[in-house]
Amino acid sequence: MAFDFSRKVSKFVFPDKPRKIVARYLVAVALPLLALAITGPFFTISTDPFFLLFTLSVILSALYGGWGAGLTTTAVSVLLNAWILEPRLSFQVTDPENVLRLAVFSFEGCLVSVLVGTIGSLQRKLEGERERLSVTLTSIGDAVMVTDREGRITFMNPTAEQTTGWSATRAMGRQLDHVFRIANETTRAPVENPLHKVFELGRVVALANHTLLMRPDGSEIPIDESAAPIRDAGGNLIGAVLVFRDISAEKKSEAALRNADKLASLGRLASTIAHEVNNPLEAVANLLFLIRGTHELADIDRYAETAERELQRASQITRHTLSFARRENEFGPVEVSELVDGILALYSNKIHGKNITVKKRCAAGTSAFASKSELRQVFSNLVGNAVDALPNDGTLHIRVRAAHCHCGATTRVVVADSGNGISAAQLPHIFDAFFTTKKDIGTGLGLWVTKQIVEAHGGCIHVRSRPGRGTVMALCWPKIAPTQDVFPDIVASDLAPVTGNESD
Amino acid sequence: MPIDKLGIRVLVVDDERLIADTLALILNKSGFETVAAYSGAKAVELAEVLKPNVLISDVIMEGMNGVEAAIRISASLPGCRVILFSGNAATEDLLHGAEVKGHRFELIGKPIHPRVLLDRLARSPSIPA
Ligand SMILES: Nc1ncnc2c1ncn2[C@@H]1O[C@H](COP(=O)(O)OP(=O)(O)O)[C@@H](O)[C@H]1O
Ligand SMILES: [Mg+2]
Repeated sequence: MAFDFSRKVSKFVFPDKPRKIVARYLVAVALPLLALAITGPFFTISTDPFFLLFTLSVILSALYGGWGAGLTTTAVSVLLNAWILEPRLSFQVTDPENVLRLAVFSFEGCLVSVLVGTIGSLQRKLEGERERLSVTLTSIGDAVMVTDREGRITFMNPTAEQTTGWSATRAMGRQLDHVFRIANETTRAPVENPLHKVFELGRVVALANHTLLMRPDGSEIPIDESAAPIRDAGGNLIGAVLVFRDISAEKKSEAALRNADKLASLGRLASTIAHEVNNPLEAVANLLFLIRGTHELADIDRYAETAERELQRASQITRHTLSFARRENEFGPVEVSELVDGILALYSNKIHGKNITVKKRCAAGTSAFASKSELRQVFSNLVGNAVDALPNDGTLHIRVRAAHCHCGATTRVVVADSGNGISAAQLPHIFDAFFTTKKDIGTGLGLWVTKQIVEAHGGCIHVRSRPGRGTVMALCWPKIAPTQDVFPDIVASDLAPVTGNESD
Repeated sequence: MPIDKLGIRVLVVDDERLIADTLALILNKSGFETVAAYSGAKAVELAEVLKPNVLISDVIMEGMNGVEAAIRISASLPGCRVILFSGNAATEDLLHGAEVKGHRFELIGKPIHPRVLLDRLARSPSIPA
């Protein structure tokens, strides 16, 4: 590869560290001797007006050994020539023209030595700096990729190779878009490469998480990424650097917490359900007992009718419970109003117990693009919190309508209660994991999970609360899937195994 | 020997009205003089006038729970037999609290079949004849 070859030559000529002093001065003396051996039989400085070979030896010596070596070569060359010029085999030079020639050569030799030597040491310094940078970037734990102004990859470190599944040699020179494909974790829609934003805005861009990196082998890794512009001394944008991190481990522990919240809400529901199902069953048992002991047809009829209604109630509860436990992870439009009804049915025992008035206003046909089970978890948490906060005879408002939010979402849901509210000191923490004011019964995971789910769907959640007055939770959901181009097909030749020393 | 049910007054308490009503109906038809109450507080109030021999109460109720009501009622009516029913694990704690205070209440798991309840009422020696 041309790139590698020129690099090797440059490395030989300008090694990273100065060579051994003995080697440098041996070469410095040997080169003019060699020049003399070649030119001696034909011509000397006196017949070679351009001092060709000697000048060449000075240059080579200075390149090889620095300016000191160049000067040495110059001096040796002058001495050798003086020795060989008339009178021969003495260091005297009688011909004034030859003296002038030697003087000019000396001057030229000094100049060349210093020039070449200085360039060499500068080059060495530069190489050293580059090496240091590359070592830093190579050993850094985060994945780093650098592109030029056109978005072509010019550097990637081993972590980037591992994370993307692309070898550096294969990725080099390719468009970053091609190698670094990202998608939204929940909707799987392709996400715009942060690079474009960097070039567009000319500043650092950090991506929200919930990004998946799509690797060429078909696997996907959750990542966290940011990108920054690279500018030259004149402030011109000359490229971008992309830094990202595999966050699978974090995601796993987050998923564990999410499950914990699910279990907690299921646990809370389980006791509600036991109550809700046992009551109708007991009533039915009583009614059947009464029917058996009665001969009045009218009474039997009335008992049977009541029993039927009770059984319906029980089956409704079990149906909603099952839907809560069912995994419905596929995304699609979800009727929000219907879903809210299901949640309210599950909490009906608590709601009736506290004599809470539920005021639900739903605009017709409002749907959210979501995973049904996650949306259910969200509303279960919000309604659960509101019911917990409400005193007896309180009011729970639920409003669903279409709206335009700055986050781009189009369905707005408000869950408001006239409960005890949240103090200003606590308000900033309610979305933190494990923050709870409900000592034994709280997990502090509900709102944390809720926020995560909402944001992963591309929506947003806001809270307003006044202690003693009540709390308003407002969420926005996208009504439809965010549409974007699908990925260009990955071609088979891109599926390069990652190996350290692969050559192309 | 069949127990003479006449004169045995029962107070049934459940915040689920249908259950309280149907149970009261069944017990009345079986010969017990039964009155239903829909809350712990109401039960305590009724007990003052009714002076029941038996209290049958749900445990988990909003406001005053069944154990609390039972403790109050047996304080003023020491001879009153108490049967609690519950379908909830939290009941254990409530009952434990009552035991500490020196009460021993019978407990039946929910849902109870009326047959079982009647058997229980008939079997128990603690019913005054
Ligand atoms: N509607 C609300 N009214 C008052 N306080 C609330 C409300 N919703 C949440 N909170 C406060 O936020 C805390 C965290 O809520 P959450 O994350 O659901 O955990 P948990 O309900 O298990 O405590 C609650 O403990 C409570 O103090
Ligand atoms: Mg909660």
